[in-house]
Amino acid sequence: MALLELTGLSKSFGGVRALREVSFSVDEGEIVGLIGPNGSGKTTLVNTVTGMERPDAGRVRLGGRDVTGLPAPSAARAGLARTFQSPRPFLHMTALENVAVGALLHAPRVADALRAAEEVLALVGLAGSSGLPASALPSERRKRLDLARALALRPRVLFLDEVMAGLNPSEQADGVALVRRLNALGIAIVYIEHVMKTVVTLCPRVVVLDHGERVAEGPPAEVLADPRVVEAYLGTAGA
Amino acid sequence: MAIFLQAATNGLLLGGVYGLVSAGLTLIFGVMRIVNFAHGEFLMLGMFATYWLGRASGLHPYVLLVPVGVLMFGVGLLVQRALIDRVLGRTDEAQILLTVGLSAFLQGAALFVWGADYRTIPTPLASASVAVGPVYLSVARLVAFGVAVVLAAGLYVLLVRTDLGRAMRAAAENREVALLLGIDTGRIYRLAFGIGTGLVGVAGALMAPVLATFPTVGTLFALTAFVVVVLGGMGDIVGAMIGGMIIGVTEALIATYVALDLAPLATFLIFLLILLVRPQGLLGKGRV
Amino acid sequence: MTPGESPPLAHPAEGLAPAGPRASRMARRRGLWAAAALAALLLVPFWLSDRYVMHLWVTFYLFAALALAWDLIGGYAGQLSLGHAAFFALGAYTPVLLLQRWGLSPIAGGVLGAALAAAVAVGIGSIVFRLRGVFFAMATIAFAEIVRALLLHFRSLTQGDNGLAIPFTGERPLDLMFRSEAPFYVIALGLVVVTLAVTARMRRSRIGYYLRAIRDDQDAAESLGVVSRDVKLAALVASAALTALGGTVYAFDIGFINPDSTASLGLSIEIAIMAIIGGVGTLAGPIVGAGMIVALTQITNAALGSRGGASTALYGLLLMVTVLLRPAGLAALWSRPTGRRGERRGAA
Repeated sequence: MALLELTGLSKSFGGVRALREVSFSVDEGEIVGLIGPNGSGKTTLVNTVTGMERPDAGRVRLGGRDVTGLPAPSAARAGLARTFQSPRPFLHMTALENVAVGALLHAPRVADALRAAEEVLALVGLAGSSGLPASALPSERRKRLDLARALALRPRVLFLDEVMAGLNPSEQADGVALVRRLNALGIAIVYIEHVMKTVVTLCPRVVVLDHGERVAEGPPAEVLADPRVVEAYLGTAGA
Repeated sequence: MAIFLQAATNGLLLGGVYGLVSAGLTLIFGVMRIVNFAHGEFLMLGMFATYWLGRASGLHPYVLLVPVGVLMFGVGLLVQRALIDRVLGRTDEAQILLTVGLSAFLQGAALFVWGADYRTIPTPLASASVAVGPVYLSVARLVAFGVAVVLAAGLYVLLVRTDLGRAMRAAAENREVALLLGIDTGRIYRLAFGIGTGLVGVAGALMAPVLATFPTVGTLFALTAFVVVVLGGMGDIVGAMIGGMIIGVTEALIATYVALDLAPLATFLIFLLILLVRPQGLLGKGRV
Repeated sequence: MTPGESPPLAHPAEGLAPAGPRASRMARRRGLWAAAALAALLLVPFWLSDRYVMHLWVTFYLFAALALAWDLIGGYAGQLSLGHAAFFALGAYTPVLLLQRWGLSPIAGGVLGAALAAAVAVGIGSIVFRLRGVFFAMATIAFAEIVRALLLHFRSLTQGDNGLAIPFTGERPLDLMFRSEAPFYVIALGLVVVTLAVTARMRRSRIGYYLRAIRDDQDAAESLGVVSRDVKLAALVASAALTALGGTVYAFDIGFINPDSTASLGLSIEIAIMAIIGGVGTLAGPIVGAGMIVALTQITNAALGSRGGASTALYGLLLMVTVLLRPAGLAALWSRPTGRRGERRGAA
């Protein structure tokens, strides 16, 4: 049975239909790529599933449980975590404290959360920065921090929203290895990315959105050859 | 019935002045997205200016409407240049605190310089009234209402019919686009703040023969104006006038039929209700 | 607030998280210093015979406690309340009325006043926390004005604007009636200590972490499982209860209360200003701010006579200067550098 199941998810803003009856599912332990040109609805989908927006129609199920339209904190509790397209660290807290905010979800006491946060920081390679205020971190490390916060929630499904953007090739390679490590911990990942090379490397299966619609799904090589996908990307800077 | 009519009329007349005070506040908000917590102190300054100019020149307060308006327009320009301009684009909190600080400064300075005494301008007008059917209309309040409505109408025409007004509305709509259209938004902001301040100054001059002048006289007006602006829709001039009259009449009726001192309570309850139900205002579409 | 933007009143990013045995040793040493300072302050009434000067100390402590309490919601949670006088008034009127009507000791009455303020905070909080920015500030003003109007209206209970006097009927400690000012010195100092303790504890607690996260980025905090409304409500409840206790101390120290002295917009603003010019989100800031305002009032009164207004004008000026030049508050002038100064200034 699928771990995360989206059925007919729709969301409009004013007259703009950002998501049109999108359906797909994510299995336990899977990495699913979610691609599409800019404005195709990828981030809206993340927002709608993780509770920042309420869907107008459709269902979201997590492990068989209906989590449609749960407010963000409840979605986090249910096991849905996300990073932000441009990282949103708590600038006036240290890296450790940032991650502890997430870890507090499962920690009975602050001290436990801080210990858990140390571990997560080490996992993402930020152990050396734990005492620095988030505002002092460069952008690449802010991305890792965003990721660490989400990980501290011990999610069942993790949405990674363009974590590779703006990274140089060697940082991207580190990033790919990190995503693999997380996946190996048993976290299912929805991997949103424009950097196709990493999508092909990481995702056995990708879902393509265009104008809020799912236009293709399958192994990356197949999907990228699909004329509808090529058309969606034509004239855009995406691929 | 006569009591009801009398109360409603009094409320309506005062409501016109509320409307004028609120028109200034809402203009500033509409164009610059700034809520000026020192707006009431500008009313107070307008009243003191009328008082002192009247004492010095012996001129009637109504003759002083124009000089006081111009003076307060200048004060507005200065304040915008020296203070407000520095917090445009900063957070709501910074803007609130700056104007709250200005409010405390002006109130304290007025108290220090002029003392806490209640000052009144003795004019025969203060007690004159005309009878219309069963209702007595205070001449001073009638004049205040008339001037307020005319000025608000003038402001509306300015915004809708003139190039300056169109530029203001463009700047209100979208600052970047206004800049692209070659509109000098800095000048627009100064003018908007100046006009808003000038209007509240004139409202002060209109109130000087009716109410006593003292350093904290602006507070209640300012709070009422917040309510009116939210009621009429932030940035909506017509909404401000109608809202002012609604609040004026409501207060007068509550003061007459329930209790004098519960009038503000009703106003603030209305306020909380609107904020919760329709923060964009009951009447307005939320723009200049 | 959009991400990446500095909060309006920049907060120092002190690492609150303890880091190893060195930190705990430091904490212990700090605790010793605090105990020594407290003991020294407790000795002050013994060599201070001047009632007026002692009363100044009481005023300072009272304002320090109020500013610290305001900071819980205004600073840590970043919710700019301009209506805290309402809680102060509830804390002032409740025990006075209970004493006069039923002879209830104001010690119990003060606790009941704090409980009432907390209950009201839950009600008003669930309304105003749906609003942000200017609307939030306006709604808190409206709330306080409603309380003031009610106090003015129910004359049979409150005597309206004539106010309530608490006649001195001899030395009765249980009724908070003392011939000397010294007991109030101790009580007010105790209130500061309690408020400091609550604040310090909250900073290190789950709620403290959540509050700082919400203030920096509410949406991001919610995505991490933080139910922002409940957290803000908790901060408001604590803030309201402590503010009400301040009202109780004030009422019985002065012996007279009326709506203007306890429920005015001016008082709400004064409380907020003290925390802001001192520096929000720090333990020292609100205390420093309170000290500055009390000292400023004294100095202007001494220099310019009792003619009112000068101190109000000056603290208005100080607030404007703080907002324009030093959003971290003036206390940041002598706080240890955290390596973030430059960024803070850049954000201003």
